[in-house]
Amino acid sequence: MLLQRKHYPMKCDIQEKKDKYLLEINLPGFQKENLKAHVENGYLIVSATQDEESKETQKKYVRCERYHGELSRSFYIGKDIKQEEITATYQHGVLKLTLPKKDPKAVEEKKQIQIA
Amino acid sequence: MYLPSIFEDNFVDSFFDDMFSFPMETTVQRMTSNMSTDVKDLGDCYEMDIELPGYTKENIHAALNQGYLTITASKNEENNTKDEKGRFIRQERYEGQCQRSFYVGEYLTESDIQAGFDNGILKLVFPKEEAHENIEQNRYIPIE
Repeated sequence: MLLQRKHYPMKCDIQEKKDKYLLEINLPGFQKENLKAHVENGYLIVSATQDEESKETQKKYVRCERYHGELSRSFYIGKDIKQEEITATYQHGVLKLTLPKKDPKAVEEKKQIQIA
Repeated sequence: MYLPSIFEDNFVDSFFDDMFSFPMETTVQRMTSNMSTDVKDLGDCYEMDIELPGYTKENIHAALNQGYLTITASKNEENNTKDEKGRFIRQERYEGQCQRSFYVGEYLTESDIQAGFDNGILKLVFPKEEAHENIEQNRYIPIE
């Protein structure tokens, strides 16, 4: 009997480019309306739901390897990025999110007190 | 160490987590975490759903050879270089070619199989053997 690892769905790639971060998540077989992403407390939360299958459909499976159910994954992005700045597209079963890169906050120059 | 399958989820994960996780992971890997397939029996035909996220229709090929249906999918390298790939902070998705074969029976021909690709799922529908035979057996001898 072989040791089997669990089949983790929602695999993702995170790429750092010059001016943005690119987050690509594998979500095959979903309708765009059932994919949701929002930012909450510095976390980017991506969730996907599927229409429930009737019991009749379930009886017909000869082989079932895919995951049928709700999926959710969260990523910590910090408090600087706001929800409006993130763009997303869903194509070929891949959800691509683009997050802008923020310049690190400039350190305030020390202001000297004028000595008369 | 052989373990009964009922202990797959809980027992094995916690037991091997600390000490043995690294050596175990390299020797025993799940063969098909890619191209997960669902096969449904719809009465007179079979429907197959294969997960192929991130691939395009042009890069997916389905071939039928001696009863074996082989699906091959490859990634288009041109897109990557054009976009100037940045540094990967995390990489979990599979980038490369993958292939899987299914035995469907020697009675099938390419025209019997209908295929469609939508949202990363390759859907194949092909008739069962009885349905295929019925189409051919329509010769009646008239009795006078």
